[in-house]
Amino acid sequence: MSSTEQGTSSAAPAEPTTAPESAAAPEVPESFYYVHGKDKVVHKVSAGALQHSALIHGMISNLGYTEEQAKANPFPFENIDGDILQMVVDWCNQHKGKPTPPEDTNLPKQKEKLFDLVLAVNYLEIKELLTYCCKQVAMMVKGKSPEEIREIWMIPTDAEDEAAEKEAKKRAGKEAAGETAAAAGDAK
Amino acid sequence: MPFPILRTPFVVLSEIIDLLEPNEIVTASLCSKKARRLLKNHYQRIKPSKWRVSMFSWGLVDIINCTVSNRINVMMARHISELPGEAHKSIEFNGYKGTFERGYPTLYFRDHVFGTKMVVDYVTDLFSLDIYGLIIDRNGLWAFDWINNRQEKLLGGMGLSKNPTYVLNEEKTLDNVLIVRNASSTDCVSTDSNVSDNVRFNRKLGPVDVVLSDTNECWVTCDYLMYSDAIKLFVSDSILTELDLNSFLRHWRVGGCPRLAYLKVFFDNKNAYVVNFDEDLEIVETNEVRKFRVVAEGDFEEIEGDYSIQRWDGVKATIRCELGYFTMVVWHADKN
Repeated sequence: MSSTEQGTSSAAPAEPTTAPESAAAPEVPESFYYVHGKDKVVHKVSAGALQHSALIHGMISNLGYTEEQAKANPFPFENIDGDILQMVVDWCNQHKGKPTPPEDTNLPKQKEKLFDLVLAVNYLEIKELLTYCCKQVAMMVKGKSPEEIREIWMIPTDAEDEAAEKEAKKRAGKEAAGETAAAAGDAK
Repeated sequence: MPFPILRTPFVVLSEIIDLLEPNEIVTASLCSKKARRLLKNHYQRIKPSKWRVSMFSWGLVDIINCTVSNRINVMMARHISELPGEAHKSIEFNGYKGTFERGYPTLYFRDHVFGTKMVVDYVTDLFSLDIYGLIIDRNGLWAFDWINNRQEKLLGGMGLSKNPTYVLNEEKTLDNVLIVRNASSTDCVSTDSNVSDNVRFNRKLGPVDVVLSDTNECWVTCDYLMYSDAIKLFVSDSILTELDLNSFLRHWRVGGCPRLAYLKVFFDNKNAYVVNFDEDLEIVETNEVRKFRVVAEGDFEEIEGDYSIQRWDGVKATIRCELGYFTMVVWHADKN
């Protein structure tokens, strides 16, 4: 259960709205934390849901925030797109306190987002979600020929690799020449 | 939607590779030299120790992953004359034409033996594995020497297969097959061998680890059983009688066939049923159920015992008698 504030860029969000918790609420009040991605939209996430992320879990343990401090200091993940972070937060909420099933039907369906999702999930160290995502990637090439795999996984051909290598060498040579020239200029 | 796999972090890439089946890895390795290098490096770091590479002398390479039921063809070499038309997905590797059908790549060569060696080398190099199993047909005896020269590790299993028909010819007798006497373990996976009439028991048989005998001739006699020093022995279409099996068990009890761990007799007469054992064999009825190792590591089968028999040194064996079958599993101290 997360709430999202659209468009604010302030570090301290103004009261994020909270979706109702499930009927079987724990007796001890649950603590919440706040995260935002590149778009600065703040997501309120329960500590239970964040358990999935080894990175955030570690941050929480190390910082020892109170709820007030947590609200005032959302965890910033500037390298993660807002919509991707939303997917991750949704998944964490859906799987809060539940054993993760071997096949996950709650995975984001947009394949075009899969690459960014994988990077985000890997960064946030969400092991189960990473495994699900990797399964999706592996499934992409089931029964495919080398040519099809090359296209699906964007693997360059040998000729493309060689051309890229040549280009990289040329660039490195130019940069080295530029540095030498600059150094000679400095010496004068 | 494409997924730029080579731009993923190392941990992610490793996890994706781990989720691929062996045939998919071989196929992906053909995408580029870089892809092949990457996959090869992966398997040099994380050796797939439970995978068993088998080669079929007619060009097929497969991998058993943990259990024999999980067996996957990964690559094949065929003669250029078998190259199909354009309807198939075509591939090219090192200048050789190929197709991609049935989930694995097939390459076509003018010299089929050369091609077979090449695809086997390709797969074993990719996974940093030795050849574990060998299945040969009538034209495949070259594979023994080739394997013995290319790797130090001994074969884990071998089989004779009729593809289309296995017949040992005049020059190549059963003695040639006995090259596998050096086999280091007890595994074998092939069935349906069909040895010609030319090959008969000559008292030289053994110590082969696994013997598959599938014949409608009567050369698999009680003598054959007694003198075949195999660990696993499969006899198909057998005309062995109750009397023969009693004699064999008597021989075993006093220390004959000491290495035998598994004997399976498939009777030619599907209604054959062994029920009468001689008293001196001291066979006792049992209903114990025990597991034993069949082929690859982790691949277990269960035997529901009907009878138990004990050797002079205390080693026990369980016997199962079914309509058309006779099975015996010996419980060696090394747990088979």
